Amino acid sequence: MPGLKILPLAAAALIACSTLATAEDLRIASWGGVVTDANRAAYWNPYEKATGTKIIDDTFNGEIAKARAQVQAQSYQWDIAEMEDAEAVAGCEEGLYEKLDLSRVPVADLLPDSHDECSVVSLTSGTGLAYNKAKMENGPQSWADFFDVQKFPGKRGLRKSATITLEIALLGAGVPKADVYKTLATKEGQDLAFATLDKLKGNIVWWSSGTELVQGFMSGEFDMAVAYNGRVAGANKTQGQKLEFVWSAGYLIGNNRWVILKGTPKAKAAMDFIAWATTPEPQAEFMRHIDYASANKKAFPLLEAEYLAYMPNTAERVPYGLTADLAVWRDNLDTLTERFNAWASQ
Amino acid sequence: MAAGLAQVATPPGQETAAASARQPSHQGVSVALVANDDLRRRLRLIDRLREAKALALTLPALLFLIVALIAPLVFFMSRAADNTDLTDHMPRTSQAMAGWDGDGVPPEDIQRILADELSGIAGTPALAVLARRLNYQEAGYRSLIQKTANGLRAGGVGTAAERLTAIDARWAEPPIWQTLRQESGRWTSFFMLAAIDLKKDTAGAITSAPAERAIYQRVFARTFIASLSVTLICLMLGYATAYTLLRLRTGLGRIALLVILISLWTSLLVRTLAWIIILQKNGVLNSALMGAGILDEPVQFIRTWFAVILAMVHLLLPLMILPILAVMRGIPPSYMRAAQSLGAAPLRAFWSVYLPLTYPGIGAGVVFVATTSLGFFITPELLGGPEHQMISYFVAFFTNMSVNWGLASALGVWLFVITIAMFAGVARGFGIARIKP
Repeated sequence: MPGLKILPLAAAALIACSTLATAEDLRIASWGGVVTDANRAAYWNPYEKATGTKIIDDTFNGEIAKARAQVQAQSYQWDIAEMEDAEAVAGCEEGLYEKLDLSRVPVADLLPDSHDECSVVSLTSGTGLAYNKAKMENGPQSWADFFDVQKFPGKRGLRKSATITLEIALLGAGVPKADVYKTLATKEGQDLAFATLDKLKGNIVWWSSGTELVQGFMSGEFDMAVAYNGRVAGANKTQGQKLEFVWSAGYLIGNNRWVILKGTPKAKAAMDFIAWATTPEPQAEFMRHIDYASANKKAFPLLEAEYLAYMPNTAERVPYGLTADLAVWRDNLDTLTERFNAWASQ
Repeated sequence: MAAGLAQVATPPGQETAAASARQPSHQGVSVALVANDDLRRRLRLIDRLREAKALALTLPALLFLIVALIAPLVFFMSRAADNTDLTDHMPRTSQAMAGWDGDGVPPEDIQRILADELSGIAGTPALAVLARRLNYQEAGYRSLIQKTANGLRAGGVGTAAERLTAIDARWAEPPIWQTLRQESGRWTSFFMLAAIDLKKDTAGAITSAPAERAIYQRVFARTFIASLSVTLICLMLGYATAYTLLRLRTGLGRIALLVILISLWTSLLVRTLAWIIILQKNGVLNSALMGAGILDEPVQFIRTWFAVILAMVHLLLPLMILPILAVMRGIPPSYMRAAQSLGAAPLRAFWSVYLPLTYPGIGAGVVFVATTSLGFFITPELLGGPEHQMISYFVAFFTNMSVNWGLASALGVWLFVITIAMFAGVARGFGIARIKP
């Protein structure tokens, strides 16, 4: 595929000639681990080679507080940050991010819900049911199975947050996918979610980072878990694990989004980067390094079939996917988080 | 600087001395008394000067302390009661609300002020901050405020009350108005109450938070109990260790002390991670026990109180040993011999002579360990589950993740108060004041 490798460079060189006169640094905050590795291979190194703009990366866990502190102090440690959906929307409302120049982003080629005035999706992940096939031949096949400790005894790994956990609890209680957020917005629905979680009491191991999730499987602390598809794929490919991701059980689709911090002196250089990074070639290259999806539809035809094995948004998987309803979470996140913390800490 | 102070300060002192010396000559009776008084005054002046000089020397440290520690502390603590997220973004509404009696729904003129202010900030960051703040009071107010502001900006006809109600029926009901009235002040008790599972109802009375959301009283109790247990265990182990260290041969004693110091100098994170490796399900301890045939299958060590307390004791033990050791070094062995030669049994001699002499060291160690363990964050986070998290975990959570800085500050203030109370208690109990500077 030599032609494919040259294409992005050519495109980048063109953009570079037209927009960038001088070389300067750009600082981007990402999530560390395999995500940063893939970013570096697909975006940062090629961009640096093509434009001379050196990219300095930093690691964070999506904390919006860190972006707010920089914007309020007008002292910037990052120019671009990779926020999750909720933080991208909340920060945009609060004026923490620059408005993007969408005329420079191939908006028409992007998947639905992949951009708004402040952000463009950098990666899409699926969070769903995974089990260790090496330990259990016939693992849980549905969320009802996952919440059935008689049928499937043993510990489960769950993400330590109200988001994701409560949606999954409702799926486990038999709420149809389409009604999950409608249910979660009501008091009865919230009670149902926590009552379903009660069934797992004493059988939960909480994880908070993808690394901990993989570690939990590898150390045998749990053999089934709520898991990120990319981490499951990574563990199978590089750590010799035999983890099975059950797409048909239903999974949550989530995004990371590039935002530019409001008022950064390098806002223009940051926009140049985003304009380049949303073109098909680097987006396809990204998917060769990690099992999370890019946003540009035109990137997928460039991709070899082998890289689609774990992609969360292929045509046959999307019907099982559930996209987060940010409106429900914006109103209920504070109280549900408090209730979740109270529940988990008993 | 100190010398300058002294020079400036001396002449007026002499003047007063001269003046008071002149007066008594008219009244012979009180001469001696006044001269005595005069001497006392001069002595006091000299003392004051000496104090000022000493203070002047500590001035840089004091300034640093104020700038780098006390000022930020006061700033963050003030966030616990700060209500400017509301009052700064709708100043006229807040003012008008303060004058309303709170009965039912406010009159049209107040409703118009609110409608004007909300439509004025529609689409700006100010509205987002306001909406987020109100959502703490009641889930759903966030979207209510956003929806209302956007709806008002889009237009509409009729009175302010009609326009508001047309956008959302909640504006025709008292609760949202009563909340706005309750939170119309520059300062709020909301966060301080929320941090101990309390809230104000719409009538202004303090009530408990809903049972399913009550958490912080339990977490405070847990923090306090964990800190106390760790301190007690450290005290027993630390005292025995310090006592033994003193009695070891010099060479061996030095090596033992070095081991303690190295463990103190090693990063807290590294030491905590080491415990994970040892205690995890297929970790060193389980493998050893199973290899030795003591266990058939691995035991759950990690994510238990055992793991959390064990690691905390290990991390904090040097802080107990060192002050006790320092105090023990200063106790001449002859005291114990004297007690015994006066007829005390060894245990009695220890109890009535040795132990009281080490109180200052115990006090210092207890304060170090107890206060440090009250703020422990990373060790319970890594070795425990949610049921082992202490208050500082939630401070970090609300600071970084959910960005509710008011609640984070309030939790911090309560923790600070508890810590100070503990410190005062220990200082009184063990006579830490006896440690002379």
